[in-house]
Amino acid sequence: MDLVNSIKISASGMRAQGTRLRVLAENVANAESVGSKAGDDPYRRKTITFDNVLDRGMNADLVKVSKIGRDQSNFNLVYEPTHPMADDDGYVKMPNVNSLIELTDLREAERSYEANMSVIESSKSLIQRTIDLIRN
Amino acid sequence: MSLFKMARQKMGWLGQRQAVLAQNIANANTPGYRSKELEALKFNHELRKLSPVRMAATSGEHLNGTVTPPDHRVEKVRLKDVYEVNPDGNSVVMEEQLMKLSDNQMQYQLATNIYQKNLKMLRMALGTQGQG
Repeated sequence: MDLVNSIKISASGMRAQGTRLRVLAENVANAESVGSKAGDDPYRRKTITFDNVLDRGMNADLVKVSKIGRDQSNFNLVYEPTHPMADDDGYVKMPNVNSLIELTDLREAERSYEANMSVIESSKSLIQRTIDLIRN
Repeated sequence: MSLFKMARQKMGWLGQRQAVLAQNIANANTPGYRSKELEALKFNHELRKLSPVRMAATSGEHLNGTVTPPDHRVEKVRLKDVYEVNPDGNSVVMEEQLMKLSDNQMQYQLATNIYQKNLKMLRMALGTQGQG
């Protein structure tokens, strides 16, 4: 049953990385979302952290998303007096999303997802070999 | 101990190791997670464990525990033995884990091949099908 369990463990990792991708997509999509009124706060970047939880039935450490938080860093101020949301001095508060950070995070999530995928493939081939034992 | 039993034990160990490696790779981005490794399979160790003492379930109402203890101990790898530790305290090195994973796969193939060959030897002795 260990081999089937290892597939479940990898699946939990993939699920966590999938949530991470979702949060990244939200950040990138909202990179230009300003507030609805002049002087309002724009979209605040979301962060995600993972945690490992012991699954007692399987006796294994699964991965789960522990918290989706907000990045408390300062917003970007852009000088654009013609913008409808500009304040009295002509500055617009833009979200604190840095596309470079988001893209490196995206790559990391992608790689981790692929690694989990290859573990599943490896476990699957081990199960297949075990089944082949009774075939001939 | 027959060759079958040895191959089976090796396969059991490799299966459990696969689960440990899967845990490490799944937790590759978990802050503070320390990579784990299964204790090495020792032949004389296995010999001693052949007849473990267990409580007998003599009635249908007896519970013999839902979680069976794993055959081999899982240990956290000491920090001085890992290649590197991330700033968030995670000590999983992906390259190392993937290397161990393919090593696991090769050893599993070896064990299943031994099992199959042994089976073929028995068949040959029975005289049913000598080819193979």
